[in-house]
Amino acid sequence: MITLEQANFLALVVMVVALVPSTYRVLYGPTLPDRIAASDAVGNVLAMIFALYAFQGSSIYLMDVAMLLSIISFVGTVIVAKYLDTGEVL
Amino acid sequence: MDVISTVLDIISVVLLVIGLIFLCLGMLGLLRLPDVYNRLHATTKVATLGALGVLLSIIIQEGYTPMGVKAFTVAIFILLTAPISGHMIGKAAYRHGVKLCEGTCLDEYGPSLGPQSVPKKKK
Repeated sequence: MITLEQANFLALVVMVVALVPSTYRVLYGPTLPDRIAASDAVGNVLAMIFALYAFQGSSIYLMDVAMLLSIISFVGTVIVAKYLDTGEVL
Repeated sequence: MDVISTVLDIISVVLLVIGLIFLCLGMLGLLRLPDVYNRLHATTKVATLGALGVLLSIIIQEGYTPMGVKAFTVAIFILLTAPISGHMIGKAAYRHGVKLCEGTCLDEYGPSLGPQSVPKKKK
């Protein structure tokens, strides 16, 4: 029977392994929107990793890192999508 | 009291496993699906349901503490913004000129868009 800490550690390992396909899609994506979608997924998975790591280490400030990563990922994705759509950022 | 703690642990681990299942299926879809629009389906599920499962397990474990409140804020923010970013990527990809894949049998957005409604790029 595994404890809750070991379950969280296994979940962290699975999340880090799940970063590999999205990184492959960022590097070798056929089109530009592929890379944008994959980098959005990378940002969200990194936010999940930081949230779980903050919970496991019981550090409150790492949860702020998760919040900031999700915000930056959303703003960057919206800006690049807007640039692809209309040709200008604002 | 001990029974309640054990039940909360079980619910938390079940939510964590649900989030990880959505994460793994989304990454498999991102790797294997044939098209930008199909891959957007997979990655948006990763962002909403996967992150929501993991953060809900943290919220159930922590309760009404500062870390629990921060995890709740992150969960609400991701739940609100992930569909917006997915929709914007899809619309930008279509209007950027990315072709649909071979097996597509219906495209309702292209005829409804019309040739005149595409904004001209400023030079």
